[in-house]
Amino acid sequence: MPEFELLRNITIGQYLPTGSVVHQLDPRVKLIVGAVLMAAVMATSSLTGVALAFIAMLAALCLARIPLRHALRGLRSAWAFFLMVAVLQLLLFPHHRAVAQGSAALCQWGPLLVSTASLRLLILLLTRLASLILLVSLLTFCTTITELAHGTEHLLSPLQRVGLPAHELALVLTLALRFLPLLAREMERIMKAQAARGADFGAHSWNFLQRTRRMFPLLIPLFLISLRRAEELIEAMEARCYMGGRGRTHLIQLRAQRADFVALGSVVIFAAFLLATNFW
Amino acid sequence: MKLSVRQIVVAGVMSAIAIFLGATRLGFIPFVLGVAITIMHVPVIIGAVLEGPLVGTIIGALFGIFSLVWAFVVPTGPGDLYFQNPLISILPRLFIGLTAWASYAAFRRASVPWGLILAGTMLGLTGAFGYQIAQASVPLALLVGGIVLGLIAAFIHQTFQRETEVLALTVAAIVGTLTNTVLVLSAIGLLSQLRLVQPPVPWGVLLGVGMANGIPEIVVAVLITTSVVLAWKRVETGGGSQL
Amino acid sequence: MIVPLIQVKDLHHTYLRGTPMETVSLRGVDLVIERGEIVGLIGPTGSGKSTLLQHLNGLLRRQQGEVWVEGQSLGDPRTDLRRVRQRVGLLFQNPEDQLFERYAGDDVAFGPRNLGLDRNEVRDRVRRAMEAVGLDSIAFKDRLTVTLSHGERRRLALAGVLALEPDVLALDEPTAGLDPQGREELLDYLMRWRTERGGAIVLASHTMEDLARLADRAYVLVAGRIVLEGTPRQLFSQGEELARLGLGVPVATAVMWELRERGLPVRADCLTLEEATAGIRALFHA
Repeated sequence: MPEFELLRNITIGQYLPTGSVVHQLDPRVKLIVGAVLMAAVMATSSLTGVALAFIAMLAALCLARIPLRHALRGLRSAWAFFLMVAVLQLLLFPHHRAVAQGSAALCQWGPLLVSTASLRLLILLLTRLASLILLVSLLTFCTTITELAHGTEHLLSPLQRVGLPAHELALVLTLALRFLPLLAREMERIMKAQAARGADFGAHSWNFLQRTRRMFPLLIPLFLISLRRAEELIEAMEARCYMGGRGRTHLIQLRAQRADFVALGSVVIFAAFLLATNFW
Repeated sequence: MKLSVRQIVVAGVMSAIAIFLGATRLGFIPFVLGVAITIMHVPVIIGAVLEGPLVGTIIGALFGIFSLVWAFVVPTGPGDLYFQNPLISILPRLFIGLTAWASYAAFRRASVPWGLILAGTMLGLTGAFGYQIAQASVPLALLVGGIVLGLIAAFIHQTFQRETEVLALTVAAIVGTLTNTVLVLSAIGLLSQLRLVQPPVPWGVLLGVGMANGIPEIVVAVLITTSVVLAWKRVETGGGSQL
Repeated sequence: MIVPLIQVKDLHHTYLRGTPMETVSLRGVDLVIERGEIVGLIGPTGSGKSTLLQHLNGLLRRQQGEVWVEGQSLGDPRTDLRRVRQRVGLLFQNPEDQLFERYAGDDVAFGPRNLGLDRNEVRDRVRRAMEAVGLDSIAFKDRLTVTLSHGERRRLALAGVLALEPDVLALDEPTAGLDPQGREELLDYLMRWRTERGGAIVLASHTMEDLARLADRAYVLVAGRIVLEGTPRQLFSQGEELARLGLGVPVATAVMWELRERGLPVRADCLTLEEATAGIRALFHA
């Protein structure tokens, strides 16, 4: 790791504040809409359906004022993944079954046979994948950590009646997400400090056991520093009389507005439409 | 269900470590031929051992959710295709904390009745599955049998030695890692059989991956878990520096 | 012409280049470190002190500008960076965080072992390094690292760097978080190391008292640029200038000024408590 910049990795899929209508939606709606769309796209099995879904994602990104180049960069860097999926699909495709249903062979590349049926499946799969990736990226671009935790907490709160501690769980999520950049900074420091003592973190070892041992100067401090910080945080919270979520109020109240209902409604309709294309 | 401040904080911190290891590739230790062993489940085990099964389950859930989201945002390998399904990425991970904690607690007591119950259960299970596995692969059956007998022997040894922390941690790490590997691969296998996931993966491939990745993963998990927890709990393990 | 031990020319550094979170840390820094001297780096937080230190042993890759260590350019691909890191030992802030070995002696031995030295040499170096920081090696080498006190852990981390037997010690806020006694001891060990070993020390700090006590010379770094340079006495006599840059002066200096402001004929360039006390006492004898 020549540049020692761990913070770079954590910033993929970061929040991009553009102040669009999508950003201002109620986080509960964002989460629900995300889940509904995801389920619908995964259940779509027609080419028209996935093509529509992909276009819809691009449209949503434009609506959220996310620069398309930035959003598509993620897709571009996943080209190896897409290639692997394609190869796997072609290898494991049951061709004999498809031939029986009238598929014709198109071209052959060693063990990889491309037929009309497998090509169709490939396009379907890859477009669906791309749409899903764009959807999740859209969510991470438009929702802050606080919103995520807030929304999750509200959505989970009905389950409090069956004993699920919604507030506490949301707090765990917030804690984890807020701790990440701290961890990145600390680990950068530790990495440099150990490198200054000549550590190489297993870069030149062939034996995986040795490699693991060489990672200890990073891994052990990672855990120990975190546990120490945890102790400090526990003391700090208890010193401020934190006693759990029962009866706690929020500074920012979540109130569903007209835009939220519009978003919810249109997404549900769109999802139904997508599923309907399966039967055309 | 009540979560104390301590449980909330440790769950949050350990989850952050799991996510951090995944996001920065530090959680992947290269093995051979470009294959990597992951250690992202180790914070789950450590959290469970330190603060109990509830905390372990929460960390496991967050770990699973992260691997789900990451499979969409930064897909890198064919595995990510399967991790996009929550039944594969989230559900199995919920059990790591439970099994790791249970084995840790059981082996810490080191009392004879517990030992007999445990030994009996494991012998019985091994006998039942051993026959099944032997049908598929004799070496694997021998390996599983060897591990189980080894554990029982070590347990008996420790019962008369009172030095139980190291053993308990080792077993927790082994069981926790096994839970992760076996449940995730089984989920992929089951869903493949039911054609709920494309492309479907045959059991043979999963078994191969499980053995190739699983064994080194167990060893690494044991090394890290014991080092971290023994240091944190300031356990005197005798010996001294290597000077 | 004697080549200076370390020379830095027009050094620039930008973090996270090419991302929306780009930050420029160094904007053209020039400095020189000679053998055997203690040089201070003064500057407010975020001025680039740590970044500068990390360039001195090649941890940060050169982006623009040059760094020479003992005449060798760190930008030259033929330079063996591992050797540079042995020559220039860098101790980070809160270095006790980097301790990872179960036993204290092993952690000190980490550096020497990475250098590929044989067992006996490693053992000797560990013993010398631990004794140089006041930790009896026989008593401490088999102690569990986590059971040592905070001050002991800090000294152990310093020993870990001393065991590399560097020619230059680069320290980032070495006394931060230590109690007064711990601070005194650490500064004493550093002075002793310089005397016995003849090495140079580069000290980045905003604890002015430390710099007043130790440094022969200091640079003032603000927003990635060197704005002032001189001996501590020269620098701390420019109190208003330092205040404008957001920096303070040693307490002793500030007190003596305050007295001077009120019309008392005292020396205004006192750096340490002892000098201030002597100056005040002199008033009563006059």
